Amino acid sequence: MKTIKNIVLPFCLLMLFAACQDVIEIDLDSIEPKLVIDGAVTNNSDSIVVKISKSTDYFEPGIYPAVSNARVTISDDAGNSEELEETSPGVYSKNWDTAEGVEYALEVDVDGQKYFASATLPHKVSIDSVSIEPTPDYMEFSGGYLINCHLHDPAGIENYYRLIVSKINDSTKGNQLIYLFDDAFVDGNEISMQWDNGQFLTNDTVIVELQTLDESTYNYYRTLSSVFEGGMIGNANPSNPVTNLSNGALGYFGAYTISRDTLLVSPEALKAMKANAQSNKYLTSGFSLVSVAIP
Amino acid sequence: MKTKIVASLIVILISALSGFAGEKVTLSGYVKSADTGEGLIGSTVYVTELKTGTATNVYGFYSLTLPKGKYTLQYSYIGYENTSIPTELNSDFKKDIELQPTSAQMEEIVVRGEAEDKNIRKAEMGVAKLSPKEIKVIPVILGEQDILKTIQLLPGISTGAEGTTGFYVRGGGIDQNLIILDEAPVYSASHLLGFFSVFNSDAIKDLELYKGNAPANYGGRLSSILDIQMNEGNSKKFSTSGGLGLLSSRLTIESPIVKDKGSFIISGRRSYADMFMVFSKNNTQKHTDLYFYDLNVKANYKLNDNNRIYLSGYFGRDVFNLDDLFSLKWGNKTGTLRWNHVFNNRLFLNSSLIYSNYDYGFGYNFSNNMLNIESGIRDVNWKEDFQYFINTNNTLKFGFNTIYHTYSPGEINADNSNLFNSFMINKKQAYEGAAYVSHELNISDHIKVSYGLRYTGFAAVGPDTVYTYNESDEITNTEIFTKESIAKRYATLEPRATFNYIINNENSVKFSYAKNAQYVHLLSNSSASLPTDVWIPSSKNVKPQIADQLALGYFRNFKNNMFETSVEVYYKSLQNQIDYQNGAEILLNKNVESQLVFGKGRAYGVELYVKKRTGNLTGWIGYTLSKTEKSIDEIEGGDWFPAKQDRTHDISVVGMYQVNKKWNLSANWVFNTGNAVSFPSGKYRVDGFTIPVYTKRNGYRMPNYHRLDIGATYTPKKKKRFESSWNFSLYNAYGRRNAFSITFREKENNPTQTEAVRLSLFQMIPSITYNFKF
Repeated sequence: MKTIKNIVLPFCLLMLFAACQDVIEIDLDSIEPKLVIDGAVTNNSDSIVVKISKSTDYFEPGIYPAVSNARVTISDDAGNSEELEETSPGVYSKNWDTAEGVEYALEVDVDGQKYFASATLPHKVSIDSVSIEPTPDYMEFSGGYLINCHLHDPAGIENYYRLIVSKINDSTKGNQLIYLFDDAFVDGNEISMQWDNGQFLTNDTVIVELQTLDESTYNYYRTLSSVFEGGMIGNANPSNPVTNLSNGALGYFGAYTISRDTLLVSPEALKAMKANAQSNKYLTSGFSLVSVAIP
Repeated sequence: MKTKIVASLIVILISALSGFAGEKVTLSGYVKSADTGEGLIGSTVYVTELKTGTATNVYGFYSLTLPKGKYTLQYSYIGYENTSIPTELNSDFKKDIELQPTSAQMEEIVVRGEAEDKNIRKAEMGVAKLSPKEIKVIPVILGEQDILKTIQLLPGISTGAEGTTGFYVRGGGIDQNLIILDEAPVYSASHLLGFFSVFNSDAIKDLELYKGNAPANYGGRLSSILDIQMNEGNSKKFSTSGGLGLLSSRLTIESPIVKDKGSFIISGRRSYADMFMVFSKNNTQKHTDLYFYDLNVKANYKLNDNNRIYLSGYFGRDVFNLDDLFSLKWGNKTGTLRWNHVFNNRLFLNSSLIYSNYDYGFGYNFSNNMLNIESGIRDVNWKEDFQYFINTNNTLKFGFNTIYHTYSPGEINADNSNLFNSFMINKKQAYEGAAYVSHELNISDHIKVSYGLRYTGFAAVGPDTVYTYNESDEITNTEIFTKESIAKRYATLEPRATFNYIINNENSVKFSYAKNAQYVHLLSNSSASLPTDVWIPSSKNVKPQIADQLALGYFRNFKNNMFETSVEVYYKSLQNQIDYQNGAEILLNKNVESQLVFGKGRAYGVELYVKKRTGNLTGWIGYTLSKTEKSIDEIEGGDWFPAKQDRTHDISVVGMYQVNKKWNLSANWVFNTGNAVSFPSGKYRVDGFTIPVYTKRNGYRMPNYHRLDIGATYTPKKKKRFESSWNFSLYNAYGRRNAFSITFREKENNPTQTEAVRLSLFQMIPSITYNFKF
């Protein structure tokens, strides 16, 4: 989908050598600030963190008021329950040893208004290996390397993945490219994801992070990406992402496991890979029909 | 139910037949062009003494039943010499008439004509017509004459996205228009992602658009029927015509098979933008294909006076290949075999076998294998249409048809790959049938009625697996149907009626009611028409869409029919309208039906139309004031919200001026209120992203749209048999930046701030086209 919209449309518009983009002023309504909950359970941290804030009007500066003095409780399906402590304004956390396959429930109480959500921490799927290959000459950039991530999808289980590739020490979202995919068409197969939205240069240290998502978390990211999807032509019916939070709260309560790998980009690394070249089949990111690069 | 319908059909037949028993005789035949031998659609035959008459049908056939006597018959058609023939009628007989064109100007397309006051007299309303001649001179983008874009200049018909061929009729969705080419449905009428239509105007003879008030012989869509007839080919002499444009070129060859007995036409068009890619330095662009083509073919042969056969076909395709990396293609194939049979002077039968196939797909390359995702829809239709010319006051149409639909919602084909598991969404099959009777009755000189009944049925048949879903989209029940077993059946009785009260020669008031049912639906989640839109049939979960439309109109002509004016108001109520859940997945989703939500719609408005028909300056002004809303329980708790295509004001002004024999100038100006859209009202931050907050569905408006196009046509003097013309046009002449889309993003230099970005497409696009004929 992404590929169709991002390649074909600009192409056709270019063909008609007529498109032009500019920033315009428009009036948008002012709305009552809404409660925003941003929390996730992962296997990678010994604590659970939930952030609570409020939304602002669209053209206001991006300063989101923190919501303090909320009662935030986490419980699991084994009967454990803990109240999170507010460590800084709007940020609530607690040490917790998470476990795969366990369902976690969140309860937030803000001034008597209650919000619920639950999510199951999936079983981890690990990265088998990462590899690089020179950027092919059809890309819009050249001279560097593309990153491939190889994994083995467990058969018979619906799996949902998110792949994040970034340079080390660079946590700006703008520089990360995020792919989202499921195993609907590749269940039980060896999957190779190729990172064709950006290239890396020699001596870059690249961190590849594969997240295995709970279905509700996947649905949140997927519908979130469709808000940004559509590129220049826009989405016909943009709507708020599908969340597992009750009572009209924005945001999500996610659960995902993380598998990480690091790679130093160098011509030697490429040679080494060529030496033990295995099957050279890549599932390019563009294929997965829901995969989208979030800007 | 069925017996009731049959009974009522018989009653109608009997009432129509009664009252004609006296000493009457019938005159029948064909009216044709002396120039090309093609039948003239809607030409009039007028009996001077009785002040009555008839008009030819779409094959040029007419039949008049009159008391014995001597009469003067006037045959007329606009653009042709009137011909008066004194006739003595003592017994039934046949008379074919050939009319001579009036002038020597370029007449390769017959000018549409009717009785000059047809709009006053005929019991029909909500009908839009355009002559191919008007289509030729009205300026369009890149000089590609396009019937679908030109009809959007008429009131009640509004444009989809800028520059595209998708259109909305009286607030109905794009898929609520049935476009038929020689009776075959064309499921996707667009090229180049919607910027051009598939109809090559060289191959088109006539078109008519019914805005939801079609007579009972038409049906299948809620909002409109666009009936397009292809040219039949010159049965007098061989001729070639064509044109060279910036985007594409056209060539048409027509010739008699046997003079005056049969003819054929072959008309082709191909775009050639991609040929310039060869000069590109970029290797990928060099190996890029981006083109479309159309091929129209038609042949007809007169076996004898009572039998004539027509065979027509259309083949069109869009191809986009980006080297071997990515491909996108779609196309229509249609074929129609028709047999006209005249049983006797009064009973005319057309039998048709119709085939239509639309397929669309895209492909990705990985590891040197192309992986294709393909979808499609295929129809086979058998149709019988009778026309019974009882007498000058009674015409009866009746018939039936049955369609077998095959839908392929999605399939992945990978060659030589074990990486992908094969995947296919089950094909779906359905029968759609209809039987109708329609009666045109002149009760008196002042009252004319056209009414009819259409009974449609739909049966989804196996093999199929039907799921039942609960509120959280989980499957709660699975039913498996074997081949040809009926999974779900629907039937709708669709009454239609139009009453015309003719006050005098220049004034009339009309009222109409129509019910329509639609059993196929287009799912689209994008504002452009992408080949990833999916057609699905009605099923257990998807009920047929139903519309009831009421319309009232006042028609007035001035100055000897030089000016034609009308006011029409309409109210349309729609049921089982389809919308999408938030975050719906449409493409390659086995459970796509679980992603849909259903509700009701309503549309109402008023259409004003003033047309100057004759003189050096011709043209029209159309204005529509309208409202279109939807109500869906799952969206804002069922509150009415504006449909995307809701347009408060829509204005078109079209002018054509014949300066002299060589120069014709034209201009059109359009204005409309922006579409209803959803814009964010707030924003928040989660997981490092700035995310917009949407509140009301379609609660905002795009900016108003307006644009002026100008054109000029230069026709040099004809040399021997060679004729040519030059067409110059300027699209969006004052360079208005109309918003094609408005998107929102973080500011590049300051990510805490957000901004709105407008994309505008076409500003001041000049073009030149050369046309020739010999």
